[in-house]
Amino acid sequence: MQFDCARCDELLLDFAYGELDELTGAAFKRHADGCARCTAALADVRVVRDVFGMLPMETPAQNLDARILAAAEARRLELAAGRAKPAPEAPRSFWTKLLDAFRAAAMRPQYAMAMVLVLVVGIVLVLAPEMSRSPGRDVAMAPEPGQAPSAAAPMDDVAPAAPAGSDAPQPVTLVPEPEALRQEAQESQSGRGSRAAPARRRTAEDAEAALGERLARGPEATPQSEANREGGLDERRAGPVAEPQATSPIKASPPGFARAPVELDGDQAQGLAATARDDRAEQQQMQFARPPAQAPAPAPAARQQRSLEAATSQAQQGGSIGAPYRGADSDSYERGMTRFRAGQFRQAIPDLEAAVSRPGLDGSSLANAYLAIARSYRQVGSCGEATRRYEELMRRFTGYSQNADVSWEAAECYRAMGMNERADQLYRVAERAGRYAERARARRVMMEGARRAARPAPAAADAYEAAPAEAEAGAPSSAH
Amino acid sequence: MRPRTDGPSDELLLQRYQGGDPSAFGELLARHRRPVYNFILRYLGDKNQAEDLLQEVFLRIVQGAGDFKGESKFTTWLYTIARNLCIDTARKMVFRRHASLDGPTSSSEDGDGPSLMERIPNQSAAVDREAIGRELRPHLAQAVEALVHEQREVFVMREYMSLPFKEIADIVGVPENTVKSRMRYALEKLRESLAEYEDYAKALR
Repeated sequence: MQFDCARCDELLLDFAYGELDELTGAAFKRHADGCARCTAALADVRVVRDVFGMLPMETPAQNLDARILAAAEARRLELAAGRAKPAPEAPRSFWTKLLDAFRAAAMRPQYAMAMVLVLVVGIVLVLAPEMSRSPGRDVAMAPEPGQAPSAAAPMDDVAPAAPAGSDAPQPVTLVPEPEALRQEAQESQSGRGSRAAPARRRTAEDAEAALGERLARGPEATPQSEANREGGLDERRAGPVAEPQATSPIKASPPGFARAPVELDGDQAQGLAATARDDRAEQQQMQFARPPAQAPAPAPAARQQRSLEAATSQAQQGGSIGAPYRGADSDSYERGMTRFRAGQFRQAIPDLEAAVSRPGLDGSSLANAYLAIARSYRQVGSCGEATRRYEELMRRFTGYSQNADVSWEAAECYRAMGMNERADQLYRVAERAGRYAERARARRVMMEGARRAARPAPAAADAYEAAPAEAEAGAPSSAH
Repeated sequence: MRPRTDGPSDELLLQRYQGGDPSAFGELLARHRRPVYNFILRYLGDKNQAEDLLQEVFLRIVQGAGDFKGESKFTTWLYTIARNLCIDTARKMVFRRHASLDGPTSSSEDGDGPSLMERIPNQSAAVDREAIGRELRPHLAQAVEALVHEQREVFVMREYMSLPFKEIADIVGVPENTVKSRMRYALEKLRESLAEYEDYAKALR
């Protein structure tokens, strides 16, 4: 048999451990004797074998044999008696096998790491879409009342009201877009524009859902909701109750109106979305806003319609923002609140101003009126007037249950006006209220960053972006 | 050391045991208890555990004797059982610190007792060789213990249990060439570990 070094390498271990047949072994030896390389390789193996062969074989304990024999005999007898069947493994379920396989794999670090990785990636893949649709994110991204509609509806284009009791369709355009908040939207959109669209879609869905609920309640709401609407701000913009339809225009019935349908275009629907969500949240938080027990009964729909018609007409003819409403009467509070809730902020202001200027309103209604005025001013972009009312509200109604909202909204106004010091103070106040804590903190971080550099530092921007709640849109829009 | 093979084969002994001859089992135990014990001990490094597992191995032999058809060698079956038990046990004690063969034995309360290697007398060795070997053994044991599990089991089975490569391949469940490859790597690493004790090694030759 012809041998070369490669063949020798192949058979080296077999030769060293005596596993070659006689003929092959002899051939190997002949080659190795004449080859220094293979001789050296063989010597290496032999050295290791010689040395490690010194490691003695351990001897088990002396009594172990007896123990094993006794145990074996006992086991044999059991088997013979049929008490212990030889390894009849119970049939295992699929899940047991799967679990065993998982356990076995998990014991190996590399498998365990791979499993963890797969698990993490899976969780991220599953949760990422959910998080992008989560309420918190929606809240963060949903436009503020003034942000949503890209094309602002005319402020005064309230269509002529249908006669009382008429079922004729009545187109009404809702929710004007405040300028100040639009500025804020532009600031925010610079970093979040890409997320705005899904949020708007979401809010539109919410709006449809809310409108569906209201439709189910019917144009004339229950006494309870009617009372809420009358005395409080919780449903101040609960105006449109639209039948959810695939395409606009959406026909809706403003509350207090007898089936006066409202036609909404796409942007209006978005604006309405924020309103709808706000309504739900505010129903829970603005309990104070409900009128006291002795509050006047809600005006009938026809009466409200007439009041609104008159107010609208007057405002269109010469009413200016903040100007005293010459036609104010005893219903000015109701009318103002109705308009406020309907999103007719410019028209609501004179009524509410008139209402607060005369004695007679109870404390809670007065506070509501001030808040509605402030919000109306804010909605129409008059932050200066708004802050004046907010400050008055805070000064006069120290125990006001809505003070967290007031502080937050006032701070937002001050910030919009560049009065950062006062804004910071109010953000601190709002921060103490759990609901605004994170947003207020984020705002303060952002302002601090802006103070430190002409351009906001990345950290500040991040903090802002990270502000979870940016629940701005989702927090009751009353908060804006 | 390969158990002596004079006398009836392992397979025949098992057959006799299946036929109701308990002494055949005693003979099998006497033949294989030491190498199997050492295999387990080298695998797990724990004496007490090695004894427990040795008992379990032979109980499984008893339990499975009826199913043994003689299609493979008895030792292949025996070491397959032992190895599987070792793997299971090693998984369970993966975070446990194994007692080193070089460490003090548990019999010594104060921990100053001789190591397992030192306790084993080697009557047949020459005095000089014994003296040198006694010094070297702890290092050798450490070197074996430092081998990766796949190489260590192959080395132990080939070197100390004297199992042929083919049988090791059957036990481990890999091709014979893979076994040889692992063995080659094991020898290479052990030779490297010997470098600093070369003088001892030469003296032992």
